[in-house]
Amino acid sequence: MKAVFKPEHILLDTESKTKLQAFAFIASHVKALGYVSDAKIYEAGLIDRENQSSTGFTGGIAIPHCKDAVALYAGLFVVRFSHPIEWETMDEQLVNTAVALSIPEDGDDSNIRLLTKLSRSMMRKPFRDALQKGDVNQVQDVIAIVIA
Amino acid sequence: MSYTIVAITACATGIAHTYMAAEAFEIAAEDNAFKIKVETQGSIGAENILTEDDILNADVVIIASDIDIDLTRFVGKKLYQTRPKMAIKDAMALVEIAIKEGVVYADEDSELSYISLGKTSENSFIKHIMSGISYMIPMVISAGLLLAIANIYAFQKDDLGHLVTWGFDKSDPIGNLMYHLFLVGKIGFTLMIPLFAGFVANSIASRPAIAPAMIGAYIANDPSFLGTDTGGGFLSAILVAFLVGYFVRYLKMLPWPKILKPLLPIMILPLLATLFITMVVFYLIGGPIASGMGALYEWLTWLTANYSSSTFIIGAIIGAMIGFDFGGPVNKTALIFGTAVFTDTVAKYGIEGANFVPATAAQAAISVAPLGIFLASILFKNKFTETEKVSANSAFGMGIVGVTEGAIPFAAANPIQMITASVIGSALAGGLVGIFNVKFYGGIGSPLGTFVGYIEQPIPFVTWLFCTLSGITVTALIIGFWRKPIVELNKLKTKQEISEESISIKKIKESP
Repeated sequence: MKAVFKPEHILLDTESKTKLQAFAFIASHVKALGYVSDAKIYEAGLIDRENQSSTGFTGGIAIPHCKDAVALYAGLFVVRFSHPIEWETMDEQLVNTAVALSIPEDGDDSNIRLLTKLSRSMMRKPFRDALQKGDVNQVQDVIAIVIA
Repeated sequence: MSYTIVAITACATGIAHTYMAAEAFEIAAEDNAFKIKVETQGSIGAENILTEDDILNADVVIIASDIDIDLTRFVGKKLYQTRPKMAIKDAMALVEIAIKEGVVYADEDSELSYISLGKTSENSFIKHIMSGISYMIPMVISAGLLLAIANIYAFQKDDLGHLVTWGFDKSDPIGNLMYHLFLVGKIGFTLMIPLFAGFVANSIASRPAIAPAMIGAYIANDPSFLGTDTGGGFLSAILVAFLVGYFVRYLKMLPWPKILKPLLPIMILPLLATLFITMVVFYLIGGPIASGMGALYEWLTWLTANYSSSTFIIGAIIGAMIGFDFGGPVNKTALIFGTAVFTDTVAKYGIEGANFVPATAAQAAISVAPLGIFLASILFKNKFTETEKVSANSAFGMGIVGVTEGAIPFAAANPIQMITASVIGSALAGGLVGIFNVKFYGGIGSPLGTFVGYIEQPIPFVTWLFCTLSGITVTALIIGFWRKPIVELNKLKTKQEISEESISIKKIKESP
């Protein structure tokens, strides 16, 4: 069993300049953290979900995610991009932060439930601000409050 | 504005957007002081599930979903479909659009009638009736057509070789089968009345109202319960359905003790409403039907005694009565009267001196409504929806063999239009056979009767056809000119169309 969020889930992506590069970055790191068993399949899942309907949100945030059997644990990952990425968002802004989710197909219900709570929190600006700009402690704090 | 809103959110993955959209609605409700309850259909199952009462009390239902949602719970409610993103983007703007542009949801079966009747979302009477009709139509069609087929076999030759004796030859296997098909059709006609009332009441007050309305409509249409010669027909079913529906709705609003609440929908409400409607039917419907029929009968007797030479008037009155309620008490009174006058005068004066007018007028009028609606659907194609055309075609199948009930779905949907058209056309057919001194000995009560049956008429075959077709044509023309062309505007827009034309991109409201 892994926690939905840990400090090492905050990732800095200095390389990616496109959405596809970002997906590859996210997939390889989520795999490295042990939340998915296969980076390629997870990456394909993210792209597939994105193609159904953009996960671009607002204020420079996107929420790429997919539910797949290769996902071992429910997890939330904050990926900050050095290069703003073109992404179809609700306010036409470039994306500087991805809040990625790994969602097991039939994982522990309680952790999936935590993801739904965190999704709800995305509607609150202070929460979003912390994920986008906060230091490790601030991010941990806002998440701890939600999943407590 | 203090709206009360219910919403469902759902998305493909069932994790992120489902809940973001729900949260967006709830934040907007907090900020703008309206009430909302959001059911989330996500990957952890449906949560915060909308109850019957939630739905009943809501001004509008918003479906913000990327996936198919079962909408049956919302039949009859104003509904707006969009995608969860629209809620996430600007929930308040979405709510305002939904209030403004939501359309009453009808399931596919009942969609017909919503469209044909224009702005039904503002007319709850029609909305409830339509809901009942959508459930009744399959019953009317299947029962009616079986009965119509059977009825063709019911005419036997009398001693003179005329096709006038009605009855099935049960010694013959085919005749016996037809007899049973006829019974099945009759059972369908008996069941369609409570079925209709049950679902009208369901539309008004949901499930607890179904049982009392079905029982109420059944007994209101059951002569042996009422102690009358005939039941109340579909008009009494409408009355019962609305009484029960609003009675149950009223009961729901009472401050019931909490401990009784679980019992309300399954026991207390249906029981009280059944008792209530039984009393109403027993004391207030049976009596008036019996005395009304009695008075009508007396009046007809007086009329024929004093104005026997005014055959047009008498024929027209009998015809009008036949066309009035499609198998209901007025219709039955006219039929019974026609038969009674005929047998009475035959007994007194022999066949030469018998009074044929009322009985012949009744038979001439009997198919006017169903065939009139059929003809209207042919002549005024753009004023009937596809489903209505199917109903009209089966009304033809019934009408052509003298079964009136095919017109009932149209009459229930639009009583004033249909009854007016039917009464005028039927009166004309009845009046014409009266004035031409047509003598109907037996056979099918439709234009076809001139071939299947025995009718004495000034010009063989032709007079009967002329009289009945005149009535049918007039009815069809009245219906046709009265109806408005079908505007497909009310049709529920697809999710795609709505999301595409939807809310202009506004900067999302930042919550504190």
